[in-house]
Amino acid sequence: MARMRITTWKILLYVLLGIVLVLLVPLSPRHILTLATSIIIFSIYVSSANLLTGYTGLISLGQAMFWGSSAYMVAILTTRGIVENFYLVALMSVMAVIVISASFGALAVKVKGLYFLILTFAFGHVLWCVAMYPIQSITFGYDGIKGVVRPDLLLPWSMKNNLNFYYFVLVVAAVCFFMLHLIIRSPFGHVLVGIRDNEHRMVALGYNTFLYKYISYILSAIIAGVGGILYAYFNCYVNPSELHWLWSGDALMMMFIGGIGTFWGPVFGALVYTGLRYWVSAYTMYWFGIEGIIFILVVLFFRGGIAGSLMKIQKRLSYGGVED
Amino acid sequence: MLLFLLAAGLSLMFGLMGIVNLAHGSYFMVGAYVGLSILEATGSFLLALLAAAASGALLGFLTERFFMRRLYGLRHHEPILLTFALSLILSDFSLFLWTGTPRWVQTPSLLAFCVNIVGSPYPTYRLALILVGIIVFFVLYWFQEKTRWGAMVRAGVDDKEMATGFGINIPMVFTTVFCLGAFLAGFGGFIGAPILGVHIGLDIEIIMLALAVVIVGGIGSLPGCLATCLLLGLADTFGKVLWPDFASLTIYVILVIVLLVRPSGLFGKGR
Amino acid sequence: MEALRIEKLSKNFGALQVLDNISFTITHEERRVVIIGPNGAGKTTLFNLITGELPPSAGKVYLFTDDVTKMPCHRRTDFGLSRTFQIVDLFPYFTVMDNILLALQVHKPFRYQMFLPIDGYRYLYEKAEKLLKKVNLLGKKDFVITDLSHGEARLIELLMGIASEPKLLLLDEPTAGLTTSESEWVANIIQDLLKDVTVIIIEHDMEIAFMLAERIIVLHQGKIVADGRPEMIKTNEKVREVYLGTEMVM
Repeated sequence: MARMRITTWKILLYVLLGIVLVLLVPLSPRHILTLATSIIIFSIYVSSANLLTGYTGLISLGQAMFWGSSAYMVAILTTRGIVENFYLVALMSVMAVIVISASFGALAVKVKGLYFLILTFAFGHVLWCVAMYPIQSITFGYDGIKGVVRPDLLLPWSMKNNLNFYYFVLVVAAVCFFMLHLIIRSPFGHVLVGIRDNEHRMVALGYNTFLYKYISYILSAIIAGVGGILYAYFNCYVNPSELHWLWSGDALMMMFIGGIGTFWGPVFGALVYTGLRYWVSAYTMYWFGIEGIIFILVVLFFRGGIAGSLMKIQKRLSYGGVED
Repeated sequence: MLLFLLAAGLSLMFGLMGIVNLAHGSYFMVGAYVGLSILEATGSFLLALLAAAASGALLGFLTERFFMRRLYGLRHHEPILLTFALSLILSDFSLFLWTGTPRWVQTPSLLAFCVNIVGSPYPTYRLALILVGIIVFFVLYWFQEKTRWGAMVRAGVDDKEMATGFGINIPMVFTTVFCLGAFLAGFGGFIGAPILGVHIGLDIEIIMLALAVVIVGGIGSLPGCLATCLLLGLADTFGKVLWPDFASLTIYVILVIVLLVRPSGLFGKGR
Repeated sequence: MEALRIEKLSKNFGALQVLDNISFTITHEERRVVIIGPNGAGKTTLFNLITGELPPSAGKVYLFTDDVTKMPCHRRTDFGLSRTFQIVDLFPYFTVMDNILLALQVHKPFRYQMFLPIDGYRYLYEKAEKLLKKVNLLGKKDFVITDLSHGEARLIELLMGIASEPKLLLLDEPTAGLTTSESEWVANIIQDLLKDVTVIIIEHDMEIAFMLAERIIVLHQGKIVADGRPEMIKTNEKVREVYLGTEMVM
């Protein structure tokens, strides 16, 4: 939480990351490129959950609601030719997410802890049920919506080219992460963490914690929505599972594995989860069980997730060092 | 009714230990599978039923002993996630042992006929289930309210430290309740098999429903649990006309309302 | 002008009546009012009702002549109200500096601002450092709360209450758990720091209470038993009765 003192090897790490992302990945075989694209999109998703859970302290099983809604919005708008302009589609999807999160959030944020968890689960599940049956004509129920076409960014580069799309995703992710960085270091972010650690005192000091939590909820929904938009275009197919609470659970898993409440945790989490899933699936179909085992191991033995463990190591190497 | 068997165990566990055990649904499913295997091996429904319940209890015991013990001190969200992970493991484990093909269990010949109720035929098996459910309810209720053992459980719920001070062996009480809950789950899994079938994914479908029932009915309240299940059954019967998954949806909508308005549940004691 | 007015305030939890028809007024010219009373008298509950953490069962609370009875807890600080807790209630994993910053930032318009880093607000940091200097804890500003001693944490707790420059400060047993010398030191700090703040203190330590007080209110079983100047309280029959059998340093 204190001011960030950038040490030289941190700069080195960032540069390395930059090189990997901008140069190495694009040069690798196609399946790695696709994998990397999905990891980056997922890390946006997990970051959104991290804002709400890691930084504000509200554990939610409802993130899939926003990811899925925006993905479906994109699919519905584009496959039916209702709206062609990418920027308009993106804007409408984000608006949809804002409307949904503003409505549910006003109720959800009233409760805390376990009840919040179950409430967000219930909201998400109700939304899923509604999407699956009554409005089947729009959402095609269990089949999902196929045929989403890569967006036309009105730029000289075609998004149908996977490499170009990768760069696009990278840019969007960079913007999202930068915004998150700003939020966390701002007075607002400071208050969120205060609420996480001791809401009672925050109220006594005079903060309107309800409002802060509400805003945080909506912000995290928007970020999840951005991820959903990217995913719809990436996958070209929107599946009911994007809206299902199990996917919200996956976000939590990824977040815990990566390190809850840390900035890079979501990236590690998405990386490990997606990478492992990809790799493990080549050998066996029992991915869920393995995911479960990994999760248990991390929570019981590597408290703080990957990022947390790395920070502990860093602390031991440079005692008194301050990190973000 | 089936739901009641599952939910009752969950309710007690949650009420007693403040921990939500998402693996509870897995006990249900594994119990069903184990029962299935025993049935195929021996042809005896009763034996299979016992095996199912026993396997549930065993799983419960193992979970509690090696897993939950570590978790009692932690904040509430970690046990949920960990038990969720456990259910994933058990799910894949079942997949491994029994493959993913959905299976069916024949209704035992003794009860495989229909009885006329109010003019329309009603499967006897379902009636038997209802009967079983009611018996279980009364047994549990008597156990919780009237026996010394039950009193110890209740004392443990109200105030762990005091209870320990009185010489009540809390860990053992917890383990027992846990096993009992899991026993019921396994039992329910198999006894419900003729109706629900046995397939992977059973655990996920049922656990959230059970959780919803527990909360709406009130944590730790058996009557609340029963009432909610009945309510759900009614909603299901009538709602099916409107749309297939109606009951499921109703319970979640009710859950939302309850959580917002009266988090202690319809019959709960307030937490 | 009146700072705090309590009118027929009552609070009960089911059958348990914690506060019974309490009424008193404290003007802003008064500086130090001490509330004493045996355990269970309802002192902290009274504070909780004033700050809004608990809703009253009956009666009204007025802050600077405004009726705040129905106002949520966080809005009441807008009136210049601030409070500390009997059991230190800080942000355990934050540094001392971060704790104070949170307290300082509360009434600033930029508390919702999400784009510029908090480091930019240098004057906040300076204010925090000034506060820490007054209690000799400037050197520990980057220490995490869990690394502080109880006495030091108590001081930070005190600073949290003072940071927002309140007009009415409620201190709930500010010397709880401190040694005699530490307590005296805290009492001196309270005397020095707060020259234009109305302070209401709940105290168990009689020496400190009588040392600080200009006015004493005695609570017993939810009712006001006596209310007046320290000399008068010392000789009050009813007060002696209340403390009968307990060690009362007069």
